Amino acid sequence: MDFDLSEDQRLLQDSLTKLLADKYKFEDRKRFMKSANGWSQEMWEAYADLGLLGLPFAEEDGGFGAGPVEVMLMAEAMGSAITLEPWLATVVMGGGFIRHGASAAQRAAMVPEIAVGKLKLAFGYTEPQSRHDLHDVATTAKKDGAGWVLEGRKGVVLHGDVADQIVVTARIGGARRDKSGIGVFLVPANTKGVTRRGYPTTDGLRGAEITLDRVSLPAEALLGDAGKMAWRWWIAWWMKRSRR
Amino acid sequence: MDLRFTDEERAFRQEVRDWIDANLPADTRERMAAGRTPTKQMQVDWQKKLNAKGWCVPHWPAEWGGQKDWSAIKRFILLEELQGTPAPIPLGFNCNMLGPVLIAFGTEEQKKFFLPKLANLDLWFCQGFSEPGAGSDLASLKTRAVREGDHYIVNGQKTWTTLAQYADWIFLLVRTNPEATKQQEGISFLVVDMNTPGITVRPIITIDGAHEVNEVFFDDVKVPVANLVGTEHRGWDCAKFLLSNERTGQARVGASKDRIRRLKLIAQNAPGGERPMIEDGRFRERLVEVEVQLKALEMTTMRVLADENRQLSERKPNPASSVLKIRGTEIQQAISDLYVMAAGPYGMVGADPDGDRWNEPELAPEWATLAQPTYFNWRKQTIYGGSTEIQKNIMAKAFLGL
Repeated sequence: MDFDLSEDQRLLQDSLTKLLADKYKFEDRKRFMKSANGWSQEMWEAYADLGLLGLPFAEEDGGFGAGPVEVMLMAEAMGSAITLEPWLATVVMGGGFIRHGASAAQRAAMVPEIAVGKLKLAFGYTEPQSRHDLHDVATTAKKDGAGWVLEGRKGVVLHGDVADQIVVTARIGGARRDKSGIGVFLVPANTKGVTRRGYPTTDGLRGAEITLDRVSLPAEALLGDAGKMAWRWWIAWWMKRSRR
Repeated sequence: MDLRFTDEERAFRQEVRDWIDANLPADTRERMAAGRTPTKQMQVDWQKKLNAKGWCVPHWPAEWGGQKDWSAIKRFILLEELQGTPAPIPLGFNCNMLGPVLIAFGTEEQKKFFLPKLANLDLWFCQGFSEPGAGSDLASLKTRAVREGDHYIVNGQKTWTTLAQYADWIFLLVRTNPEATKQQEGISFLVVDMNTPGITVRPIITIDGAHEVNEVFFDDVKVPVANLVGTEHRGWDCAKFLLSNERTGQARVGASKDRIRRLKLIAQNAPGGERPMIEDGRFRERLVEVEVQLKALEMTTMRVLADENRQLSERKPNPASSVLKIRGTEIQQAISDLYVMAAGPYGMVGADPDGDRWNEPELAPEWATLAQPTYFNWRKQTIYGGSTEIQKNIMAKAFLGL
């Protein structure tokens, strides 16, 4: 067993740690927190310049093909400066669904945009009644011709207030607390019927309540295969990812 | 031994409850029921009402507004009912800290001038003990007071000064003799008008977003020698006496009982899952554990209080109050943790503990948005008023002779 970092990994760690030590002192953080977004656009662009936002995406999609160790090093550095930017929401959470569930065409369109800091993502899975039960999904997705119509509410969506695209869970079939029948959909935030209310969360980040009122989506909004992308499946890949 | 309340005590409890119901303003009641602290005006108005009724400082001597024939149990019942409503309790700085110190150590003039104003909250006092380099090791404090004629000139800084932004006066520990062989022997206890030139109050915003504590700076502040309490260089005696009284008040049994009662109602209706929160086995286990500890604390509190008349007259701190402080604060923290559990993801929604909430429909019930700020804020409880570690040292000395 070898716990040593490779040369590249150490360089990555140093570059981010240095950037944060220089530009992300506690007073800076307080200032960022008070700004309109609640985080720093300038820092977001600095992460993009360092190549951090495209890190875990495949090279053929426009990313840098890094693995979980690199993501861990970033998370450690981001955590020790208690950064406020939507890195976790975009790259790890939302980005995870793009990596594993989006089509090649979707990936080709989105990953380069994520990598340069132009596309922000969020993952909406909590609902007012669901507490910690990920499978408790009252939001519905109904077939409408070739596409889908979503109806429901997602709550406490990390950085849901600034995301350009929101990944949400919605029920394709079954009862509210069934563990199967859940689809994962990609919802552009500017789609008609999407309303958002952002607010600060207790940890200084931002959350949002997102209401989906007859939101019409094309067929490809459903990520992955409906059956495979069901609850059991995305829990399974989440765990596999963290073990790898 | 008979651990039941007498008929008379039960009747008194009912009397207190009825009086609070009839007199506590609705906005104060609502604000406190949600788990927020009263505004300055709410505190002042309520304390004046309590004082007029004779219920503000029952533990003081009768000549200063106390209740001569009240047992410790009776005082406990009053406090428990106030905390359990919840209603504002008499300001601790005035009634439990400075008041008893003046009664024990003050001059006649000081008693005459201050005691009625303390009880009636005509003057709001804050406590100038902690410094940037002197918290749990209070005796290492550095704020200097140099005597010049009939004044002291005070220079230095206090910190974590609770509600200094409301205060008219401050009671203060200062170093008057830096050459004393023991740190404790060179300290004096002063009372100072906050309007004196040279005093600056700067807010500290804590992790819960609230403005509760402050830094207070003293820059050549002239304090009349008449404002010295007790003997010069012997202020440590006052401080020790005061801290012992502070600890008895920190058990807050009535408040914890009320918080548990409300938590049970919340957990019966908490959304999510197939069953309400109250039916979750692990949640119940933790809730019951805290409840049992609280019952034990309640009995211990009464034992200490029953002893307190004797202790007060002998002016000796009771080390058992250390037990109450540790247990009482641990229980309050455990309850705040249960509230966070009950709130679930919506506990993440940021609250604004000081001001009015956004002028928009609520995102989550107020108790849920206050759960995490309260949890964070109450981490201080096992640190203030003598940290848990300090209390354990006191107990080791007093009970085990170590």
